[in-house]
Amino acid sequence: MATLHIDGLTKTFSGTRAVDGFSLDVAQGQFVSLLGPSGCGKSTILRMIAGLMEPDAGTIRIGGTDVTHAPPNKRNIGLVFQSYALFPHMNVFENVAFGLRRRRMAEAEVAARVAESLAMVRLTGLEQRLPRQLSGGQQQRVALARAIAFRPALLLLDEPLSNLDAKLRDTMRVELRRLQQELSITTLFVTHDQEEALTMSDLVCVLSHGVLQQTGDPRSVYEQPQTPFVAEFFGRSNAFDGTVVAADRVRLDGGPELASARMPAGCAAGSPVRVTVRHDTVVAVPAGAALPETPNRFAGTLLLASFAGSNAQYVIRLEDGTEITAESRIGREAALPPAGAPMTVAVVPSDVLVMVPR
Amino acid sequence: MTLGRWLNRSGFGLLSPALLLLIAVFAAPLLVLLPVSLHPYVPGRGIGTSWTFDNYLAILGDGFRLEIIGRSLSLGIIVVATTLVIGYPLAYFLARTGSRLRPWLIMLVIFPLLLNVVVRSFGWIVLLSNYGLVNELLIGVGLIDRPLKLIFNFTGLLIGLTHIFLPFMVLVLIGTIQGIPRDLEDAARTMGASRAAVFLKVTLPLSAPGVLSGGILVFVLTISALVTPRLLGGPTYQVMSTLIFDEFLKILNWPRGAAMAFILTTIVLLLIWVSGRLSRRWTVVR
Repeated sequence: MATLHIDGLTKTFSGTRAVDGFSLDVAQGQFVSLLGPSGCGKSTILRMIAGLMEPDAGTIRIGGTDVTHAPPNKRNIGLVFQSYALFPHMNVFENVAFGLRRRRMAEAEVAARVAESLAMVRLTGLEQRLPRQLSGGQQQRVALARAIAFRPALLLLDEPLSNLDAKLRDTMRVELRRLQQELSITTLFVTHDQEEALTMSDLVCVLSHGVLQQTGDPRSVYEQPQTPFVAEFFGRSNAFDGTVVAADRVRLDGGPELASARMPAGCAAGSPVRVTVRHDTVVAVPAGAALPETPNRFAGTLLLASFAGSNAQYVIRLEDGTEITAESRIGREAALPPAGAPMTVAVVPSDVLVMVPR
Repeated sequence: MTLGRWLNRSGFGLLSPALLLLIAVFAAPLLVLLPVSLHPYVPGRGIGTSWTFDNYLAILGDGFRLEIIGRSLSLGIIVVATTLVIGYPLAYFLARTGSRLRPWLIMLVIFPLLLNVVVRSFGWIVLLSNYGLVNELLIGVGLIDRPLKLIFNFTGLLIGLTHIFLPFMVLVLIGTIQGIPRDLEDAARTMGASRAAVFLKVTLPLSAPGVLSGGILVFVLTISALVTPRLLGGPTYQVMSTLIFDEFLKILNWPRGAAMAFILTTIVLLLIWVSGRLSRRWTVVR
């Protein structure tokens, strides 16, 4: 149990910056997600924290101790691999006991700790099974039990849920979070799945091309993105290039002017910006129907309406040719309007996210 | 069930070309040789017609021949051990390296196999003889006064055979080590295992099947090698294969040669059977 402080972590692979000046402070017991598409450097960061990779620059401190150049076996870290990496020649008991025995613990205590860890992941009774005799979900739990058995200072999880099927993934997500809170263990979770990151974390770090885009609690990174990448990464969005017209107005390139309540500070008229509007904040109705009160109202024609479970998705072409996608709940009986139908589109200014491109 | 269907079901159909070849060039000649080993040798006339176990009994009761059998077997075991000790680190490096030179390094391991074994053995004679390169160097540096006896004895055979069979061990081990996911070693490291513990608890047990098959291969090649022991052992330092060769082609005592050959074959088959059982136990554990 400990804090984690990372400062200016950098790693270069044959000329490419895989991780560029990454810094992060994690309080004791926090659950932090490193979120980003594949190749964003999140796994590289994890491997450097675990000591499996040497950083080119920067420092890593666990519980106040500088471990930047310590070998992995001296860091007291529990790591769960995406592949689980269970030892195929050892049974469940021996797998979980591995870290305990490396710490020269008495056999009686090893047995007690293994039993305790297996109970936590609800695998009691499977001690004698070999990994290949277990299901994917069970292997996952063994990997988790093995990582927490020796009570590491820090728990690192490298996309641990990505090899499970959707249903099991949801169960494991809840269980993993419960276990983490029960043990109050500082945890770093690497994932490319925004839903996993948002639902499980105290803190989310969004990464792109080795650069930290934004750190914050799940709600703030979702609702107040600070870079175009973050804005477009969460949910589904309409994204446009545009220009600042006034302190609260932008013009989309080749498109209409929009009023926005989410302008970046200190933006002069004429400067280029990136404008993002989430699909589910765009209201689209057949022409003439009631709409929320907003200056951003546009007439257009429906290009495509598709049914997506509880939502309907509309692709609409505005009169000046701009295409915009709207997503909204559909009533039980309402029929989707046909393609070519005249529509009206509205967006409230607080949903028009304007950002300075990096 | 018809023969065709049985071949399809059992998978023996795939084996049959190799199996037929093996029967034609190995099993059949061996069976032809079996009666020869059970006839007496009549000096001046050749193979007698009566039946006898004397050839086997004579070999197993003869101190000189027993010593040679023992020598062959211990040579086999020690060559396996040295190729393993030298070959494992090399194979580990080649299996794990991300270097662009890797294909070339592997070529370098295979390269000696492209040279004729006679040439390689003569090379060792040049290096190891009393006034060879190694002794001259050691005397020149002042480490020894008189040349070490490095050839026409056990040492010479050990050096030569280790060199010649090392590539086989390395190639088998590379394949096995590559099959061990690197995550397993990383996982062991993060759980507190030192590099030595990772090797002893994870890498070595998981590469045991490769160690076993590489060991069998090198052992069998060593105890059946003829050219290298002949050249590096000289005319007097014998092993089983050179002895069999001499019985057949110099002394012309075919019955005794045949009996000797059967003893060698029996030892090899026994070894393969035992190790087959061992590896089955290991694969069950995996």
